[in-house]
Amino acid sequence: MLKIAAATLRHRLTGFAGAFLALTLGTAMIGMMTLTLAATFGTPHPGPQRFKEVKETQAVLAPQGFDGQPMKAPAVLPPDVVAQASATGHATPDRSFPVRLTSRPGDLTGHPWTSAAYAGYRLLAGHAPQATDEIALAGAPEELIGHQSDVTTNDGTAHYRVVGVTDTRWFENAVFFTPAEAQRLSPGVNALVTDRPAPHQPPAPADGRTVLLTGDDLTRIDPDPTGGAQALANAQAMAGSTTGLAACVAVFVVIATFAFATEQRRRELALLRLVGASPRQLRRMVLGEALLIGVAAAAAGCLLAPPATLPLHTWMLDHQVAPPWFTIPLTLPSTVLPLLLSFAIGVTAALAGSAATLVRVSLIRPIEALRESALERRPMTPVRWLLGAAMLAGAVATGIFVARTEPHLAASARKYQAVPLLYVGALTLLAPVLLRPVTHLLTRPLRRSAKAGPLLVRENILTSRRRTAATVTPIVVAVGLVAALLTMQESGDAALLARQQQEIHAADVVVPGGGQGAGGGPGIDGLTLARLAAVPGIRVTPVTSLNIRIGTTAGDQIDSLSTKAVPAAALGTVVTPPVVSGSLASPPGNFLVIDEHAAQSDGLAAGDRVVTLLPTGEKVPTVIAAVIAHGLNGDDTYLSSALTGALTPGRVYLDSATGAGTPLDAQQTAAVQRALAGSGAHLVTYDAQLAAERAKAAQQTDNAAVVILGIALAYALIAVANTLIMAMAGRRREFALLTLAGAVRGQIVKVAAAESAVAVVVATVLAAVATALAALTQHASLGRLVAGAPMVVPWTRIAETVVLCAFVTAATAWAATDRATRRRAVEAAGTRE
Amino acid sequence: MVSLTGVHKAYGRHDRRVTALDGVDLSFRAGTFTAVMGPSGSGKSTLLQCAAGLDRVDAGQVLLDGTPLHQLSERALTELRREQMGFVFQSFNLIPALTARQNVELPLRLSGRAIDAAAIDRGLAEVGLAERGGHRPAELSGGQQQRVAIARALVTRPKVVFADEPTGALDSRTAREVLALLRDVVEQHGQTVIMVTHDPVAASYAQRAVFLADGRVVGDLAEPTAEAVALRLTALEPAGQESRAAANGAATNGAQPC
Repeated sequence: MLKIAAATLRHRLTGFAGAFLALTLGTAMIGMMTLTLAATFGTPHPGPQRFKEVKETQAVLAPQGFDGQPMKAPAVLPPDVVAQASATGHATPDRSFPVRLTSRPGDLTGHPWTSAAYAGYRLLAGHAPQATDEIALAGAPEELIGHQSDVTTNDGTAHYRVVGVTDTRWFENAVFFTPAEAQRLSPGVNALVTDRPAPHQPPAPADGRTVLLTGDDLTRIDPDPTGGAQALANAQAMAGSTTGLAACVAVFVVIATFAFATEQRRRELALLRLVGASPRQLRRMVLGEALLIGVAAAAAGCLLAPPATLPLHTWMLDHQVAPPWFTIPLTLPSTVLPLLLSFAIGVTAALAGSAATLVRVSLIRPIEALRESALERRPMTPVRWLLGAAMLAGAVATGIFVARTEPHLAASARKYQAVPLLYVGALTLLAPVLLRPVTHLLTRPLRRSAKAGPLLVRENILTSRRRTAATVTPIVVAVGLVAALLTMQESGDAALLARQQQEIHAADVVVPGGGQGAGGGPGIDGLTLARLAAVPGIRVTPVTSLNIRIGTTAGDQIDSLSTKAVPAAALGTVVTPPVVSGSLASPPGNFLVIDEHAAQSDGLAAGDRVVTLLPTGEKVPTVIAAVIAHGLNGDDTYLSSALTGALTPGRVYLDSATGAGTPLDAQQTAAVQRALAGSGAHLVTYDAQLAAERAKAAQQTDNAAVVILGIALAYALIAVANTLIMAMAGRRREFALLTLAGAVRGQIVKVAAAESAVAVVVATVLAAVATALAALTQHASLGRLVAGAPMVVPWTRIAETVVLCAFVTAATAWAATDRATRRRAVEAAGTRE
Repeated sequence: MVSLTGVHKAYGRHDRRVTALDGVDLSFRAGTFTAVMGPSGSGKSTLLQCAAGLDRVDAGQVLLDGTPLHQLSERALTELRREQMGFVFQSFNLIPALTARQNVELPLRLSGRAIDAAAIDRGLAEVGLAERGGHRPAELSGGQQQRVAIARALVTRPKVVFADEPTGALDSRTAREVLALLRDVVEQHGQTVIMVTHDPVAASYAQRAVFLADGRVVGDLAEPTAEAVALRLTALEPAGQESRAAANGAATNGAQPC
């Protein structure tokens, strides 16, 4: 049968070209994503990085945290340990501190020049910094040498002169100061490179305050102890979810294409049955065709995949989805496995697509070859009913389960992805059922029309529901995915901001110079803070974001948390998170507020005492004052800022002393501006800052949408065009009969285009139903977390998608019908195929 | 060879029910050429399809060489059709993707039999297409396509060949060639041919003509001539329906032009 299958394929190239194209592009897409995904696995930079040039005879002394674990900057070594080590032998102190430069964007890390060699930095031009105002820059162009630059550190802003340029390292953007200047800017020693103690010698000051690291253990105090793997987490998540979506859409579209192709040649298959083929032989033939197409298309797709990663790679770097050092290796050994996998998925999709039609193929009776016209068969198969109903039930069940147990998942489009996908899938599968009532409703106004066009449009759709369903299905997928996923994402983002707005009341925000201070950059220095505090009539709430570890009083680690340090006075006034247990009123000076997530996973409750390990290496006893509602975006915890004296705040919230959130008057604002003068920090209103964060979130949403949804959309549109071309070619005889009945070619083309337009409208209605259901389900979860959680529908994007679908559909219908009616009518009417 | 006893067949459900065959008793002896005739809607195509096991009967039984078709499974029917029956239709029903030769070979391939190249050559030569084996259906004329279909129907040496309006889409000269071919099948190879037609000229090539109206057998004519058949058909046309009982032998004026 494979020979007959091959002959049929050769003959019906146009019919199968669509399936081939869909599968080739699908495999290319999956290949592109699996190659990218594979590149994000493993450790890109194995071994110690920051201290890779530390000799065999040397060791690095680092501060000790819980359970004997070393800590890195900003944790500092106890001064007496440093003094003792420096007195006994060679000891090179290393300091790491946040720096911002006017001449170079981004967060930089300052070091003393003396420790540069341990990371293997080499001077490329100029000389090492010798005077206090001299600096060397890693990875900077030589032209910068001799230039003045404003340098902001936690100490404030000062002028420096660039005197040298070194090569660069992937894990940091380094700025080197003279050792003395580095010590002035960042007094604490973060790590000390010393001589390794002789084996027989008892380990030096082992009082639990320091750790001595050698060899591969030095990785533990690297800026990224995972050797770059962590920096690829974003890229990996993006590639992972896109691979999944791409595979789903590809399989779905291929199944639809094959099912339709089989339906189109039902008569030919019946003829084979008539000539003596058994149902089994037909099944083997159909599978054989799919195998041939699958192997050819998947192979072609695998050839297209490697070059396709180039633009994707550029895009990922441009949009900070991956770090600048990220590469997608295209050498043979590293591409074999991902491409083999993509090839297998492609072939499997083809076989699955044709397997889905096998039941129908088996039921083809030879007598169908003799019937004048193909009878319209039921548009809904039992499998379709079952799957559609199961997906709908699954979506509702998942939604209820999430709302009952972990409603915070609904705020993240990525974690909540299953719900919109299930709704869209269910509506897509159930489309033929809804086709009839929706079409009736939509074409009601056309009913009274005396013209032939509207009559034909209406009746063609209603009598050929299966054909219409084949067009509608991919459009429901396209519009449904875009609308539902973006609505989930934007509503989730809006809920995050709403929660933030309800949690922190402020009128204005002071942000440090050069950025928001949210990352590792320097914060607002102490002097500026003191000046702000001196402005009369305003309340100043400095907030410091930091990572802490909590442990038992015995010194065992319980958890690591990201937290915000706030003054005790701010709790319950400026900072009002939703309290679950305990109280925010008059908290102790060493309070810690944790969220439900931490309370549940760590077995902690309000009133418990824990030891908090600050990033500086200090261990302080704390009391859990309250447990608050689950954070929407990671941990939501607060720590008393009385405990974090040495750390500078990343932002300062301001409001009038008369009440939380009350705006400052003009005089106060002027006083604040004066206090900030020259510090580099600047004042923005809280609303403006929230708007900026919203815009940033929207920007990220857009980035994700472009890649993930763009791919799905492009694919669905190919499927629409494909189906329409096949359908129109199959209607050649019908069109010819219309011509003989007196229709001019233009009328037929218009009828076909109008039919496709109705299909787009029907699909949009179905997609809207899926989106509405998903949004309501999500709202059930978000409403439990945020009072009055907003529901944000990205109308513009949805409208764009619908217009795009309508355009592609109408244009394809137009062109395909035009082509199908080109032959002389009498000729075409005489043929049976 | 083929016999139908008390065959009933209806299409549609409930209110839209249409009776196609209403108690047909007929038998076709081996080695004969029979034309089944009747106006459109008389059930003649349904009769052919039921006789070939392509359609299931509602009541009654169909025997092929003693085998009751209505009791066979779909698979057994397929195999029986493949081995013992050949089909020729108005629309030639060739597989467009395959060449004439491949179309002829198709039934052998499907039944997994060895393909005897010389036998295929002979088969094509018998229908006068020895030179055209490599052409695809689209490159052949209507008459040539129908001859390929006949060669395909005969390639398994079936006991019965069913032909449904085999000349319906052909001009009269080509039609005569095709009919002569069918007659040869009976006379030279001793096979049975059952042909449905509404064309009295086509019927005149058969050894026997059976007349159907409203799903019942209403006449049987041995060694029919075109004129005799035409006369009887005219009587069966819907306008003369009330005189159907008298149609058996009754003559009305005018022959149906065909």
